[in-house]
Amino acid sequence: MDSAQIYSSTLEQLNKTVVRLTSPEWDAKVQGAPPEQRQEALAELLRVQHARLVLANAALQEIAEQLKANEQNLLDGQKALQLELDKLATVEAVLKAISSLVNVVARIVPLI
Amino acid sequence: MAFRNHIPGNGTGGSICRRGSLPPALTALFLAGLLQITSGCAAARLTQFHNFAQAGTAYTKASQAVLDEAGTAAIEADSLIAQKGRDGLRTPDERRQFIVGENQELRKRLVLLGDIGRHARLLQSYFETLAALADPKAPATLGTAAQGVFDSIGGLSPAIKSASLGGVKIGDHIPQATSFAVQVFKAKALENELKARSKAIERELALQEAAFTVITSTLETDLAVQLQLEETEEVIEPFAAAKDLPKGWAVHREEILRARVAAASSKAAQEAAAKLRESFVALVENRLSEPSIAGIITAINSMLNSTEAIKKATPTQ
Repeated sequence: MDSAQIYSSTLEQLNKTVVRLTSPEWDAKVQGAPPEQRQEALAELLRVQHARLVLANAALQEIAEQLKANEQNLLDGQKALQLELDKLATVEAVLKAISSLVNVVARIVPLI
Repeated sequence: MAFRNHIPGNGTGGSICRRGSLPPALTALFLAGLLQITSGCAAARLTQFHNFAQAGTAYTKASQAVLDEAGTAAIEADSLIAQKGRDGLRTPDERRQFIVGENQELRKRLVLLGDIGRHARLLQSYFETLAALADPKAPATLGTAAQGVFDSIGGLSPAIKSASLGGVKIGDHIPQATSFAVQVFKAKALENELKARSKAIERELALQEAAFTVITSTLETDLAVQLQLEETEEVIEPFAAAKDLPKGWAVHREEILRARVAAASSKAAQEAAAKLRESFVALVENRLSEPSIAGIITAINSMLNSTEAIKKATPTQ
């Protein structure tokens, strides 16, 4: 996969994730979770939105090498996250998958 | 008033044989007659170029509304997410750092949307210059003016091409170049201008098409986020709470549900840009017809309909 495709698929996954994390279904799920997890869910929502904006504004030619270097982790992370978003089995599993992907994105573009 | 910005068909009907304003209801009739009027008139060429320039003006105005909407939706979605997730940040420093970072990124997004708008306005100026060049009595300085406008367009386009929005790089979405030959025109200044720059202008129109493909996709995500959060806060939560429902709850619920449908059908801008590009090629080949102009008008009106429906149904805007 070339760096443009890795870039597009990662951003597309972040878009899908932010849409899922703002859905009424996810909100209901989080409301039933323990307070620590609720707070973590809010923090992850902010991280995903931030990653989405930063990556969308990044110039591809400047991050092409890092994308290629992290290709496998990004693709595995996207796949795992989409599986969790489709299932919405537990809040913990979804948050873990989000955190895993966003941590890889943070190696490519500087995130807060 | 909803749909107040509709472009009536006469907006492209600037014939020197017969100019005038027609109400929207007469658009179809006007368009049906346009071909006959122009074909029977020595100034048919001039009419074609005027028609196209006016279609370009209508497109630019409508596309600006979409760009404004894209900027608004990006900011509002981000603000709603920031409000929703604020408690996830533990310290004032964390919160300050987050919002400053988001503001920076949103400013970058707005700069790009502004560049795309300026690009469209420069194209509009170029088409107006072409319309003036179509007049055999056009002053010689117009060729220089066209060159100047073209240089400004070229100055903006690299930044747009290399930019990305919401997961898609604009440059990757530029449609393939269309093969076409410039017709022989009696107005030599016009013919020379088209020979020099029409292929490059076709590429610039393709860039508009690509930009709106990308903007549409981003706009859909931002609107989905915004509407889902509103649905949770203003429809689901009040309903779930053991209190009286707020006044207007049912109306607001309907607005949000309808807006979701409007948000998912905002592809009209890229269609209008595509039609403008096709019509430009037809113009250069001296075969711009009434259906081509009608097609642009329909696409521009769809673009306005979609933008107005989104505005109407997203009450925070």
